[in-house]
Amino acid sequence: MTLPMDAVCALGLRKSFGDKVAVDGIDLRVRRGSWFGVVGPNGAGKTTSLRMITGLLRPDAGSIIVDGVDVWADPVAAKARYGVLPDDLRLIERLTGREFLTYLGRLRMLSAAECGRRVEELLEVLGLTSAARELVADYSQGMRKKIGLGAALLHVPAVLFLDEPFESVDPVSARTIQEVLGHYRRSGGTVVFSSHVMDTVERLSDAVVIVHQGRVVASGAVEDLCREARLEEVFMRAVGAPEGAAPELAWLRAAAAPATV
Amino acid sequence: MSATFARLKLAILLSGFRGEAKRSLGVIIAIVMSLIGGITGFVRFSGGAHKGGQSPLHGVVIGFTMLFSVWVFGPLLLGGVDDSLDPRTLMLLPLPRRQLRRGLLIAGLIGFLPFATTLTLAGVVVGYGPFAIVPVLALLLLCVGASRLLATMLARAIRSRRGRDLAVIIAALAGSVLWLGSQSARRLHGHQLDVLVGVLRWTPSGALGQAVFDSQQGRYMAAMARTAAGLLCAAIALWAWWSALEKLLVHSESVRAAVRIRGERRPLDDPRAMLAGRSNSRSAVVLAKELIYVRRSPQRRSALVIGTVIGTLFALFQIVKTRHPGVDAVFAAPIGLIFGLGVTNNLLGAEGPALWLELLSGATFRNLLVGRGLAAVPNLLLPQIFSALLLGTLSGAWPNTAYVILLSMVTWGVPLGVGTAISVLTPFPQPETANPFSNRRVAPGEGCLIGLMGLGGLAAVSALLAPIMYMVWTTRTASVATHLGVAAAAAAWSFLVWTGALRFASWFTQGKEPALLEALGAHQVNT
Repeated sequence: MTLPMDAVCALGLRKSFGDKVAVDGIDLRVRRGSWFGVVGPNGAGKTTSLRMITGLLRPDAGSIIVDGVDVWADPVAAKARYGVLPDDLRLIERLTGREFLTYLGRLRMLSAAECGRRVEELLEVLGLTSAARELVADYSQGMRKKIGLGAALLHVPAVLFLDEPFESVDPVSARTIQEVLGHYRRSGGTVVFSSHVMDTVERLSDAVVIVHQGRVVASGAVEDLCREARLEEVFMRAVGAPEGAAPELAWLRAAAAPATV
Repeated sequence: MSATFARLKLAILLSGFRGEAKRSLGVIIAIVMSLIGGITGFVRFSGGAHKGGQSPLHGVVIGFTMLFSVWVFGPLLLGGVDDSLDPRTLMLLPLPRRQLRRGLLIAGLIGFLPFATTLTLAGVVVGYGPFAIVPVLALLLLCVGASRLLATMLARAIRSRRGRDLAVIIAALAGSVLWLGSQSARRLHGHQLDVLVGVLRWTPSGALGQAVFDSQQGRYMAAMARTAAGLLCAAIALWAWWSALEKLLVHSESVRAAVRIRGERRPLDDPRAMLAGRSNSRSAVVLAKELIYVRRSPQRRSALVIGTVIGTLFALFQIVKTRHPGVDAVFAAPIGLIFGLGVTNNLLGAEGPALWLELLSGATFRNLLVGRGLAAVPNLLLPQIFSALLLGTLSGAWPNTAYVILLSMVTWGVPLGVGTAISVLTPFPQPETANPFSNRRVAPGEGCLIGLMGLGGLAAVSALLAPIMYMVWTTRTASVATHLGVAAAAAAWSFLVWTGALRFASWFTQGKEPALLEALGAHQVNT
C-alpha cells in the first residue's frame, strides 16, 4: 500500500533474463524530500531495478508508484513526475548543449519563453554556458553528466533517479552536481541514487538500501544502519564479502625485485 | 612472432563458428563467397591470355584495378578498420615495432579477401605464364600496403567527430564512385575501352597489369620497368602505413585536441529558434530537431546527397541503356525514390540508443515517426525531381516533367507510410560513426530479415503506387485539368496510406516501449 509520504513505492519487483534472475522481489519505499541511496555489488540488480521503476524496462511482476502515479498503468503521467540520469548516458549527440535542453524542454511542452529561461539558468548553474554552443558529442564525461542532469531537472520533477551520478566525473563537476542536487532537495525534491562510493552515499543519504543478488539484504535510515560501523563495513557484512579472502599470488612478489639487465 | 600473429588472425576469423548459429552462418557465407570469387577469378584469368587480340590486356589491367579498388575501398566501406587485429589493442605489449609491422602485414594477408585474391592471382600466373609472378606479388603487396594505410589513417581520423563525419562522407562517396564506375565500365566497348585501359595502365595497379601482359608477350624490359614502378608504389604505401601506424599508436589525443581548439574558434550556429518556436505539437518539435540533424549529421547528409545523385543517375541509366528517351521517358523518374527507402524504412534507428530520452520527455512513437518521417521526405523527393528534370531536358517533354514533379510531391505518403510500418516492425539501430566496428556489430545476424523487409517494403510501395501509376499512364495525354484531378486523387490516396500506417504504428507500439528501446540499442544505456 502506498502511503501519502511515499515519493516512490515499488513492491515485489521481479525481473528475469532467461534463466538469470536479476531482481527477485525487491521492495523500495522512499520518503518525500529525502535522499535515498541504493548500493550493491556489480550485478546486484540496482540498475535493473531503477530501469523498471523509471519505465525503461518492464518488470515481470510488482507494482511501482512514483509520486502517486502507477508508472506502468499511466506512463505518460508518471514521466512528467520524475527525471532520470542513467549511468551510461546516451544523449542526442548532434545538438549543441543549449539545443539539447531546449529540445527536451519543448518535448515536455514548456512554452518557448519558459523553456528558454530555464535552459539559460540551468546552463549557468551547471557551468556550461561557455560550452552551450558546442555539440554534445564533443562534451567531456563530466559535461555529459551535467547536461544530463539539466535535462532531468528541466521540468521540475518530484523525484530524481540518478544511476551512478558521480562515476567518471572529476571532483569539480561532482561538487557542482551535488550543489545543484542540494538546491533541488531543499526545494522539496526527492533524490534516489545508486553509487559504489560508500562515503558519498553515507554523507548524502537519509536512507539506504543494500541490494545483493537481486534482493534487499539491508535497509533503513543511515543513522540507524551506521550507528556502530561505517556504511562500507555494513555493506561488506550485508553482502557477505569475506575480509582478506583474495588468495595471495606468490609470483607477484617479483614486482619488488630489481630488474635484471 | 609472425606465426603467432597468423594463428591469432586465423583464430579470430574462425571464432564465428563458436558463437550463435547465425554468426556461424555468416562465416560460412564469407567462406563460400570468397571461394566463388576466387574460383571465378582463377577461371577468368587462367584462360585470359589465350583469347588473343587486345582482350587479355584489357582483362588484366581492368581486373588488377578492380582488385586494388576492392582492397582499398573495402575496409572503408566496412567501417574502416580491420577489427580482427586492431593495432591499438597490441600497443601495450612489449613488441618491437619491426615485429609488430611484420606481424600485422602477415595478418593482413590472411582472411577471406586475401584468399580469394590469391586464387585469382594464381589464375593470372597460370594464364599469363611464370614471369607474371613478380608483378602479381607486387600487386599483392600494393593492395595490402594501400589498404592498411587507408584503414590506419581512417582509424586516426575517426578519433575526432569531424574526422568521423569526413569518414562517413568519404565512405559513402567511395561506394557511389565504385558503383557508378562498375556500371559505366560494363557499358564500354571498342575504342572507349581502349581509352579506359590507356588511362588505367598509368596507375600503380594498372601498370602491374600491363607488366603481366608485357611479360606474356615477351617484352621483358617493359615488364620489368612497370613492375619496378609498381613495387616502388607498394614500398611507398608500406612505408606510409608504418609511419601512420606509429602516429596511431603514439599520438592518440592530438587529433581530438586540435579539433576542440578549432571548434572553440568557430562556434556552431545556434538554430534554437527552430526548436523554441510557438508550435504546441511534439511532432513539430521533433521535425525541427530532425531538420537540424539533416544539416548536421554526416549520415543523414550523405544519405540525402548520395541518394539524390545515385537515384537520379539510376533513373537515367534505366532509360538511356535501352533507347533514346522519348516524351514519356520522364514517367520513369519515380524509380529514383528507391534510394530514399533506406532512410524511411528505418525512421527510429538513427541515434536509437538516445531514444529513451525523447520518450521520457513525453514524445510518443507517433510524434517521432511523424517528425522523423517528414524530415525524410526530401530523401524521397529529390532523386525523383532531379531525375525528372534530367529526363525532361533530354526528351524536351517539359509538360510531362512538371506533371511528374507534381505527382512526386503528392505521393510521398505511400513510401513514407510503408517505411513507417517497417520502422516499427523491424527496428534496428543505425551504426554509430563513433564506433568504427559498429557496422558489423549492429543487429548481428539480422541482416537477412532487414533485407527481406526492405524487399517486402519495395513490393508494398509498388503495389500501393500501382493504382496511381495506372491512372497516370492511361491519362498521360489528357488535359491539364485531368492531370490535376489525378494528382488530387493521388494525394488523397497517399495521405490515406500514410495516416493509416501511423495508426498502425501507434497501435503496434502500444505497451512495447521497453522492447523497442531494447531493439534499438537503448539497452546499452544501462545493463
